[in-house]
Amino acid sequence: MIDIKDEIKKHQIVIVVIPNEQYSEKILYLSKTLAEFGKTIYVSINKPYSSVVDLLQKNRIPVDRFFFVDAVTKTVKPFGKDGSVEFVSSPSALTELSLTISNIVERDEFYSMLFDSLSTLLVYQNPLMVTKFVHNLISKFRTMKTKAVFTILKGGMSSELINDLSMFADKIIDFGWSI
Amino acid sequence: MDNDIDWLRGWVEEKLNKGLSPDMIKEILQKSGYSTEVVDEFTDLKEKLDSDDVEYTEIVEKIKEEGVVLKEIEEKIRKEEPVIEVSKKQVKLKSKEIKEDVKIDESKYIKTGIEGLDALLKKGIPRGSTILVIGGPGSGKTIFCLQTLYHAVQNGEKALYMSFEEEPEKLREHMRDFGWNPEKYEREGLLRVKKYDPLKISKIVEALLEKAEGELKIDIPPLFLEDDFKPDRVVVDSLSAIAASFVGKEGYYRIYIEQFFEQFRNTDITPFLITESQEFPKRLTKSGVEEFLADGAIILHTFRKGSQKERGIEIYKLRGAEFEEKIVAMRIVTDKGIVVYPSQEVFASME
Repeated sequence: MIDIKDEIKKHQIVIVVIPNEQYSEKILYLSKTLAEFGKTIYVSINKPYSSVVDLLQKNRIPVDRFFFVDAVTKTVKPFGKDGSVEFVSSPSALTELSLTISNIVERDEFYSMLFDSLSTLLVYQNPLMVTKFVHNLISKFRTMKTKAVFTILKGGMSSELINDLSMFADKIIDFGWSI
Repeated sequence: MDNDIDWLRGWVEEKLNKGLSPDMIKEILQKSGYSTEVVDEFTDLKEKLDSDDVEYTEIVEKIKEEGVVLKEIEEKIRKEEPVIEVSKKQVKLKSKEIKEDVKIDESKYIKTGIEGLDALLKKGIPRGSTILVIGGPGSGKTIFCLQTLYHAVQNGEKALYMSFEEEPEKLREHMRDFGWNPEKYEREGLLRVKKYDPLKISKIVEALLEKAEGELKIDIPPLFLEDDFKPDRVVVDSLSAIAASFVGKEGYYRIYIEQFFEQFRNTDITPFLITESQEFPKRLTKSGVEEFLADGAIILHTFRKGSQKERGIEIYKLRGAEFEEKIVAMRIVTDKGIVVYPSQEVFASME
């Protein structure tokens, strides 16, 4: 059995594969772990920022350790900026998403980014485009010397993407296998 | 030694403020070759600093005993530790180096004044080059040209906007939307925004060609050079509007357009010639002539996926100058105009 916390700490670019039934629990675990290490950018493609904040608060994870990028809310209603969140118009706006994340990393100091999740991007984009996007983002994080953790659901369309991304990542952690 | 202590103190404090946990700092120091004892001293430093009871000299002595020079730490971390964020400092240094490297002869090259684009153009656009600005409807061609003219007049150059479609007042309004003040420069005699009738041009050309009985070279009266105004930059908005006025006489348009480009040769005027195309053009111009005659071409791409629109910009060609050949992201930003992101790839394609 591997020590997940230690693996995340040791590696800069990590892809975390999570079985569907464990998804909520593991996302909270990752959030808590990264928050303990330092300030983290939480990129939410799945849930609006307000729902993520509620969830973190309910689980006593310090919300002030996060800066959020929300690619969901703007698709539901128009929204401006708020102190700890930036909105992206849609999960399919990959260029805008990439620019927003890069600007945040360049502007402030962060220990890590938690990207939740690549599986949702696959709903909007083809795997090749997602691979290009992740590769580009990884290069930026390497340059900026900031940790990046990408989550992805186990099985289905994800397998091919995980295989492609294994070239760029430093570590693939498979929760379905290791825990 | 005092400097070393200050440096060390600053370093630990900076890392703690960035949000790095004492564990991470400990790990970094271990990777830098320190013993557990010294590492513990360092990572307890914050508490000791707060309580003001730290004996710095002791710490430094321990480091010296281990034979590690304090100032090497940062270098070691840069090389070995991926977590530490020294990038901003490096980026600043890099941009300084770049600025120092490139000493541009401003009499030979012009800047567009568009944030990010001038980085792709390296030295700039060779003065006197004819530049096509190509893009689909709503791609930002007019804003691009207004912005580059505005940059010119802000720097004391003279600029003329020749509109063959839009009313001058509408163009001024566009400029005001971005917080620019065209009236100021019009009053100062640096900017001119004028409307021209393309049909008049086609009629004159037609008459001249018919009179010349099919000669390939005719003398077209100067289109823009008014006696009282010699511009440094000109925008023609658009060649497509001029071409449309030659409907059914495309051959005449080709002769005219060749003459038109000829007018600019051997002058210091840099014309930006707007051309309408598809959103993601497979062919740059309708006639295909302009792209061969022009010295440069800048394409404004629009990519659509469902209801999403992504913008990109590409320097397609530029004779006599270095430039980066890639499509990069572009945005139209309130209060700024066009902003180009020279290192941001566009994640989109035409479906």
